[in-house]
Amino acid sequence: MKRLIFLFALFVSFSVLYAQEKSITGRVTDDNNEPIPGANVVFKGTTTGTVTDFDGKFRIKVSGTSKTLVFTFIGFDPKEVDVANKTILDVQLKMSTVGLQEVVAVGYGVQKKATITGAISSVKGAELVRSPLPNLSSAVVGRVPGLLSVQRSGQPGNDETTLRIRGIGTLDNANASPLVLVDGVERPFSQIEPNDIESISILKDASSTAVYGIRGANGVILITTTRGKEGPAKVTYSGNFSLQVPTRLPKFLNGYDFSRMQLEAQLNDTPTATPMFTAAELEKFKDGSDRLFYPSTDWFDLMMKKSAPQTQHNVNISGGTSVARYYVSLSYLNQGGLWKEFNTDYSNNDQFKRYNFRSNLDLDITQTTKATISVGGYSSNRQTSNGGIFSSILSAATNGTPGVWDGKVVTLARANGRNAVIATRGGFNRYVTNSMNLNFGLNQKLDFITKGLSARITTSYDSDYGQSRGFSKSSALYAAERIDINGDGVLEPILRKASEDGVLSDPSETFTRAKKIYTEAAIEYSNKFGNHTVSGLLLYSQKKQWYHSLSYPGIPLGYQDLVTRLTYNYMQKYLIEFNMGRNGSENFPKNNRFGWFPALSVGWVVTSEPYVKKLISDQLLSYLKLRVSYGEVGNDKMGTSRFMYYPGEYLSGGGAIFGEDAVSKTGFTEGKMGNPDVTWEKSFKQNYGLEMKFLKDKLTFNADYFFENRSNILTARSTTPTHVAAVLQDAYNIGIVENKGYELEAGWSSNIGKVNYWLKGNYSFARNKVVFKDEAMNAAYPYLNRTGRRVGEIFGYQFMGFFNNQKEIDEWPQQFAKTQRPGDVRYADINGDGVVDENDQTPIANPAFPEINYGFSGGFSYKGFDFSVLFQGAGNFSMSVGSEMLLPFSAYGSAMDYIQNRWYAGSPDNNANATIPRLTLNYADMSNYFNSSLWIKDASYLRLRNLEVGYKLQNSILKKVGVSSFRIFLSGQNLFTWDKLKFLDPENQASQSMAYPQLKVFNIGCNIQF
Amino acid sequence: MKQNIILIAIVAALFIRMFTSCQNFLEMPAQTSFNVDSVFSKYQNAERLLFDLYQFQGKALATAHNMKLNSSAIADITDEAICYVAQNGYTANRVYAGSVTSTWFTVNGGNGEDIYDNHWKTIRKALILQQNIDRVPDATKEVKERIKAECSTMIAFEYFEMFIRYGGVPIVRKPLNDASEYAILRSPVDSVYQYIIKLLDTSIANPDFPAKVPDEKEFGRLTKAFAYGLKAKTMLYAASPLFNSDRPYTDFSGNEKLVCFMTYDKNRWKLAADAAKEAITYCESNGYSIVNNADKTKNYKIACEDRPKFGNTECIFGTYQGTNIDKLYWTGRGTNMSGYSPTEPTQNQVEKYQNTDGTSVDWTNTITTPANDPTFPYKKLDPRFHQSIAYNGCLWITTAPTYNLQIYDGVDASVANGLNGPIVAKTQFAYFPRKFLNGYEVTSAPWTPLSIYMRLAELYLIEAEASNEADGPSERAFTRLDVIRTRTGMPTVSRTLDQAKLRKFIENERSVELFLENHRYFDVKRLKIGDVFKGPIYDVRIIKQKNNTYTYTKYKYHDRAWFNHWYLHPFPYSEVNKGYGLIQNPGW
Repeated sequence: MKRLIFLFALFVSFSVLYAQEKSITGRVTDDNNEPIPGANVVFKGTTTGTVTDFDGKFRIKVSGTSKTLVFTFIGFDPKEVDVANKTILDVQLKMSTVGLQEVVAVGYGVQKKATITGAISSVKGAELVRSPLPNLSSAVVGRVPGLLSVQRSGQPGNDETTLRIRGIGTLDNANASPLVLVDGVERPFSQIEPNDIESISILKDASSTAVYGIRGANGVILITTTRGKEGPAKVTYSGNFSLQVPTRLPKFLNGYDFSRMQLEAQLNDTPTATPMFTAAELEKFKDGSDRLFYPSTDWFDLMMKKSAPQTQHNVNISGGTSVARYYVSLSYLNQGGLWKEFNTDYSNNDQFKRYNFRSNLDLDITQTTKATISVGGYSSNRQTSNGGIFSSILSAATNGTPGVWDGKVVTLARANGRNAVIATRGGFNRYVTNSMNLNFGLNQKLDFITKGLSARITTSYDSDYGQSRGFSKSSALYAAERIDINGDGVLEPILRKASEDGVLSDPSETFTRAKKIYTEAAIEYSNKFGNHTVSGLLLYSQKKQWYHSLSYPGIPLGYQDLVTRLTYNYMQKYLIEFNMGRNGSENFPKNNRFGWFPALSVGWVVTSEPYVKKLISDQLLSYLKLRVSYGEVGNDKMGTSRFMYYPGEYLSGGGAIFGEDAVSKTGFTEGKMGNPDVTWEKSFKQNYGLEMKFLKDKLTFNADYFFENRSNILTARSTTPTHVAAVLQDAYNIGIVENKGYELEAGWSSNIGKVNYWLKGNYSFARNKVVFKDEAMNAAYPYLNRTGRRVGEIFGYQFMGFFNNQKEIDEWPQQFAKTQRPGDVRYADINGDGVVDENDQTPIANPAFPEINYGFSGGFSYKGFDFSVLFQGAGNFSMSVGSEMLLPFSAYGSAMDYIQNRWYAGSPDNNANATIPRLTLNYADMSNYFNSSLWIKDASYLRLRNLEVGYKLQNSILKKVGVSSFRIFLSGQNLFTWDKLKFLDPENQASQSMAYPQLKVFNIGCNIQF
Repeated sequence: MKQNIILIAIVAALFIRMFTSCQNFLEMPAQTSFNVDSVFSKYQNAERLLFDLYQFQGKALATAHNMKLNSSAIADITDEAICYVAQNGYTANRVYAGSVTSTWFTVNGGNGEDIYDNHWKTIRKALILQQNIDRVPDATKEVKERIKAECSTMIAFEYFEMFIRYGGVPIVRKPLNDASEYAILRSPVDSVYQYIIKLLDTSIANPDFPAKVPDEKEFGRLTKAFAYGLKAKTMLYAASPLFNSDRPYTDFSGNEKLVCFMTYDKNRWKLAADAAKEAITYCESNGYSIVNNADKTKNYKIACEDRPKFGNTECIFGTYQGTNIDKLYWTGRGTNMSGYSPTEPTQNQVEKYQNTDGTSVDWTNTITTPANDPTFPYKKLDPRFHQSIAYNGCLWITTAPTYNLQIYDGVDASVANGLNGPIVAKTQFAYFPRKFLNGYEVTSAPWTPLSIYMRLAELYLIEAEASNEADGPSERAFTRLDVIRTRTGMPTVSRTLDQAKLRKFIENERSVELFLENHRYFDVKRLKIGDVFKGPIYDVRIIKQKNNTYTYTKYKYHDRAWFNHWYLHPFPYSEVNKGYGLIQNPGW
């Protein structure tokens, strides 16, 4: 089949190039049939030769006697081809190692990886599809250095991973989101079909992001979608079927233990109180003889399925001729939810369906004019239950109701109406999203003016439409009671209908619409003068975005950019690059609106120096590149604030109730004050990089060190007295944050006999420091200052164990002017003033977002088999324990299994291993539950994130039926997690905002190429 | 070639655009929302600022839960009531334990006793409104003048609320927009006091400020009657021992004048008495009067809970918030009333009520009732008791089918437990509140009580108290008290009381008359008798015996924390830490 394609390609080429004579033309491609631009084509033994163009094509005149062409390109094995009698020649070069030949997407263009001087890491689409995940943002995690992430939820359709490039460089994590561009236009990317991704580039330093200037400071993620390549039509189908199970669910006390502990808590509070449970009642919880009135409900067992299915299908067709190339793709995703059904008339389960389409077309209108037309988008349909099921489970005691009895949803007086099943029966929400993106581009070579000059324009139109509908319905509830039905003095259990079935309401409907028009125009120049290669770019772009959930909804959001880039290299040995953005943001007043954002970077390929080659064997160190970059980028965002300079806005709101008949009157509330001097955040970034290849390119090693100083940070003042700041304060440029860290990346690929194997690893670390914030420095207790600390570092009390007896209490400093009891938490008196109070809080834990992210992967292939595995981990981050996970029994709520490990009088080991303070029902005094090192947990983890085993059938029968390749594979996601938290997935949240669990996925799939 | 030219032209055009019209591309389009100029260009808009002025203070008394102390009432942190412990977040319990921090007490929305920021927000709104109202073209001078007086009164009201909580606070005389103006430090108590009086005098002198709202649709807006009343109330606080003293309640070297006058001036009492008298005279000559119908059984209820159109002639400032579902929070927990009982009257409060014959019930020993007569100990108590507190055996639901409360346990298994008693309903205490619930006992009935802040009866009590302090016991004090007592069926005050005894009597009378109206907490503090807060707090245990008698045994429920530095609130920790020089109150 391959040969057939080859012949077909030859035929096509031949027909196009039929007229050419006395010269050899052809195309140089890599293993993936991608063109290699800049490859050397030389007749053996001569200096006669040429270089392939941007599309890998070459033309060489036959002269002299040499009949052998030598094709070379850095990073590939050289290839010699006998060209006697040939006029057309397509050559495929074999990759000698990872990397160098690659073309990498950079801001407003592509560059050869070899000449890059900025800090950019990238990942190929082929790697991303290994993870059977519906959300693209999650598939990147662990595969590239420099990316830190947290995925809070696994909910179908709502499972986006929060990504931060090189951590957080500003004062608020919420304002540290990277800029994301899909095919050059700012767009969300998490719902893009992974099969349609060609590559993802992460732009990290000033050099690579300066072109995005005023929005570049948080780094940039560039998504490039797959485009067609010259060749016969290639049809690829891939299908996946998966089962999803939660990585971990919290464990609650069973009915008996719950009741026992609750009683203990009651008597702890008021020893003289009438016990809430008698011994006989406790016995009933224990022996299960009366599960209606003495239940022990495992909510997850009752309400959750063991697993939920997920299917994904993608079919794409790509191919083309030298004048037209296409990639067309259609995908379908159906992700089921984990809930059991409790309704007959509607589903309460989570569900997500998505249809993606993409059509990328490249046309060579003339020899010098190229057009690209790209249409992409998706339509999705998401459903969730109307009630917050997890918060309902946290709020429902396991001894409060059996949940469902005799098919009826039952409540007991004890539970105060709390029954988690109710949350599945209040109706449902449906979200329909249609998103359509259109890019149209024209590229004109202007060689007639001067060689290497070209111009292009791109226009894009994006349209998003969202509909959200909420259907609510009340369902019948039954109260379990004992009543003397027969009048014989014997109480019989009955289920009394306490409320009736409602009717499914007409939906409450909200719509969101957004559209965006983006235009860019550029002049590009690229030429080579002997050993000197230069290129330049001058680009203008503008954007207007109509987005109805913005403040000032009637006014489209606007940006305007002017961009320039100049690059120079000498024999790809000495590299220099200058990038600059001149950008404007609507957020700032006229005189502060436009800024210049320059960045300079240089590179030196040490191993290209002849004297270095003499010094170190090429066999040992084949490649060493040093990179340095320095520049300025900006950030113009503070939350959703717009027109930050604009003063005195009054908004409808507030008001009060007047009149003897209570008429509500809406008021006007004063909005922000406006800051006439506001301007962008300035980020000065340095980057020092190193790229190395050893042992015939088998071993690669890259390292980057970065340092960022962000000043002028947009933030509200926090030292303005309340009597001045009685209105909403607007943005001021008043913070300074430093952020520094490093990334390491190493790879090894080799073979043992016929087994090819590879190992890769990356490690990223980013740590910030607040250099200045609007904080009144506390001179007496400097440790209370946030200045000098990390952004979001958690402050609290130092946990020092529990008070075991009155003597310990008497000897300890007074805490919060409160009478302590044995079993209460002891805190450190940090300032030694003899009392524990608000002045004794210190930094006690890492922020809630990780500082460390690492991944290591490996794999091998042997004949048709392939195997790959990816481990990923995150470190230096914390989880705060809250709501019922912190406060068992509170407000009729649940209690976690771990509270058995509480402090209690008469414990056999004298509470030596207690981890929970004495139980209580009274949470008005929260001093045992303040933020302290007792309750802020280390959430570091390591996951077996992805594992894949595949087998490629190479069967002649398949070929006869037109199948060129058939691969079947088993894969899994999040198969194991190692962490210290134990009771919950480390990326979830231990509070009422606990989200749908992170998912473990078992997948079987196939990939068929025709 | 043609397309080349076209393309170049487009590219060039876009670049030219960058350098020419770019400023307009990103410019905020002309006026799209209201600013201070457009708001004051039309009365209809300016009036909405007036509505918003009442956003916080308009709720007057927190009969709704969640306004203060998160579902508890301020009454809970006095000897009036106790908060049931089992509901998470009923934060009065924190005060009992003593774990009160400045952040919690004055910052968190609804969790503590006060929200410091809200005072300043209201003051800013009033200042802006007052400063700009003259710009409104389509309103009469009378309307504008009234609003100005209303704003002055509101500012005085906010300063009063801060004065009684924090002592001296910064005085802000104009809306501040520039951070450079911020270094305004605390003014002495005397300055704040003078400022309040000055503002109120300005309002009182304003001929366009009505004594009463001219239209019942404006009920809930401040009036001149309130300005008079607030002046008397401010003077009462200024005359009281907490402020009217030559030494602070606790050591505060160098800054004493921020927490008290640092002089004792008996004349302050006289000023208060006269201001109260002036206020009463003004009110009564302008349509206000003590509710005193022939049917004495309803007067108290009407005065506290009803709207003016239903006969409440003594409401000086109150609002009507409409239907409220939060009745549940007031009624007993786990009973068939399905309440949460954050606020349960104490035995201490019950003992403040005298019998209608002037005697008191002796609770020292267990009281055993006659058979089948559970209400025996309460039968002869002050009618205000019956309208304020629900107790064992009382008629709870008055319409058929009627329902009497059964707040008792059986002595042993042979005697059935009462349906609202500790075991069955898991209630903890012997009393439920009834004030503000009268007429709304049935679970399903919408609850629509008045939210009252000041009524004429309070001014009577102020005059009585201040004149007793200024001149000793006199008919001036006694007659004022007699009016309040006799209109509910209580006897007149004994003329034999000396000054000290009358002082005690008036304190008790205020506890009774103003029960649950958010006075007690501040009364105890201004009288500097904070030990009252320590308790002990009592409840009674009610047991039904085999012979159908009931035994009532008073027992101590708990003691509470109280520290002298609690006399004044702390400023929020975050506010003091801003470093502009705000001096924290002593002890915090």
